[in-house]
Amino acid sequence: MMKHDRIIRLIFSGYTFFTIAFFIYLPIAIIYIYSVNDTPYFIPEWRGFTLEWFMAAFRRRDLINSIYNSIVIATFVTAASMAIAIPPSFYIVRSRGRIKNIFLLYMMIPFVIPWIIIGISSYIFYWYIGMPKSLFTAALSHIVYSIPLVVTLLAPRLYTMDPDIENASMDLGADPIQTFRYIVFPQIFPAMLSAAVITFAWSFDNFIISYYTLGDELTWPVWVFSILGKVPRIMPVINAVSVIIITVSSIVLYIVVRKGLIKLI
Amino acid sequence: MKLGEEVRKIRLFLSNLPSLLYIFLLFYIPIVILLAISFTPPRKFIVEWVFTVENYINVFTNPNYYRILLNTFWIVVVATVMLIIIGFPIAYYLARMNRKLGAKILYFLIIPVEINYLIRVYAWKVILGENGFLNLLLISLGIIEKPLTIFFYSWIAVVIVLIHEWLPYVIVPFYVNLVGISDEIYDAAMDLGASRLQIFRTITLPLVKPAILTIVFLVTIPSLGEFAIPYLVGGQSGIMLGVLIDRYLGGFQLAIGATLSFFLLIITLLLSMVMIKIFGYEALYSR
Repeated sequence: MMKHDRIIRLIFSGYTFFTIAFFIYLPIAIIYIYSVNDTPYFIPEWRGFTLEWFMAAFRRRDLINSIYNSIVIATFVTAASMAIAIPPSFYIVRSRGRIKNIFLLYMMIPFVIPWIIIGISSYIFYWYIGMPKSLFTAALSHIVYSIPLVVTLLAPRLYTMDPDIENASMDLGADPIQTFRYIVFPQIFPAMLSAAVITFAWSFDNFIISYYTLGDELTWPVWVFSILGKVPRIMPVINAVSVIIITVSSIVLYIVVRKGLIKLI
Repeated sequence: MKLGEEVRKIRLFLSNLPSLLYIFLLFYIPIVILLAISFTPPRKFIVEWVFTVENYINVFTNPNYYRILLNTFWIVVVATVMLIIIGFPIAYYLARMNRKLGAKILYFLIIPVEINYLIRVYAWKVILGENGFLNLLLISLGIIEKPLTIFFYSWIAVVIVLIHEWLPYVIVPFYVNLVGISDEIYDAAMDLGASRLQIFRTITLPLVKPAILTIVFLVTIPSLGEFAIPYLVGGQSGIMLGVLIDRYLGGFQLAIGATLSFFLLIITLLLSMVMIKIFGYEALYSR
């Protein structure tokens, strides 16, 4: 029986490592290798080490600009959707009945449909009302999805909060803002932080909604799409930027998880 | 006191107003406009505000649309089933057989997601393309003589890339679910003489049902609207509804684009309703 168990464990662990290595990490390894491989093409051949692509990335204004735009949009989307989505998160957790279910459905529909529908309906909407597309319209459309996203991330964490503590604070004469500042906020801060991190990462990386709602100014994913396979010698530059992004964000993620600021699960 | 209770309830609901209004203005109104445009005649570059069901008749009678719709379903269903088959044993191993590693490896599952998927899709080209690593490997092993083209610009490539993109999102919900099952249940079952298979069938499977729901919302539904992956790697056999919608929008044929989008919307909403029927409203947010 013991031996039998060991064999099963071995099979499972081998399978796990192989699958994660092949399906998840192989393309990542390719991106790393080709960011320093001295060839502008994706050819299965090693042509020597170079940092040229990293240098080239910093010389491209449009690229730097797109990263900057992505950061601006993601920051705006995160802040706005947190502010808008906190009250419904409480409402959903603390009420019962028909109205709540209807409200929940109303809020969640943008969350359970493909992004392309948000993108296309926004595209038609901005065209219809004659609003020129820009970074702002893209951010507005991102928020449509990120409101329910924040609700799904926050609501499960709010069950453990006792509403009587807030009621006590109010009964003792604190106004809602004070109550939020001194009673609610300290309790939900960790949940808010992880919701904010996920929302920021989602918005930074979103392609489909941005693709239909941006004007002339592009975000990083849309810029990548606009240039993929169309401009020679650009792929290794994109790889180099990806290496920078993955390295920086992994370190940040590692630190915040290590410090216990957010929990992965 | 009773009155205070009522006031609090009303205040709690009123605090939702900004979110209600926002979703109304920027989601429901655009959806209504989308629906309205789908009932206008199929024109290029202009929208003629005349009511007609021409687009819908078109969608239902043109076999081309059927083919692409079926293709979309086929690809997404194959990818979802494969993801569950591939991802579940990994989550099971991490949650029940090697918990120490489980906590750490999740970090490594999240890292790759930080690179935009368009770039990762492109990296697959080096692996699966005609002159890619996989073909080189197969040739050097003597399994094939000429490079195979089935891996790239095909529906198989779309499925492989979808698996790559969504595997972390499948492993994590399964893992969370499996980790939550207490060991005592398993011990009790063992003590009572249940076999491995029985334990798996009667304990593990029913308890991971919620994870399946999460996966449908997180993976299947977004995949149905995917357009960049089939556009970049799908070729002819990998064409999906998203590509078609984008093509019409690119040519500013809003009416047909809107009709197809509305179709996609209805399909995904039906899928969600089925999920809610099975799992209840709470399924929408308590993961």
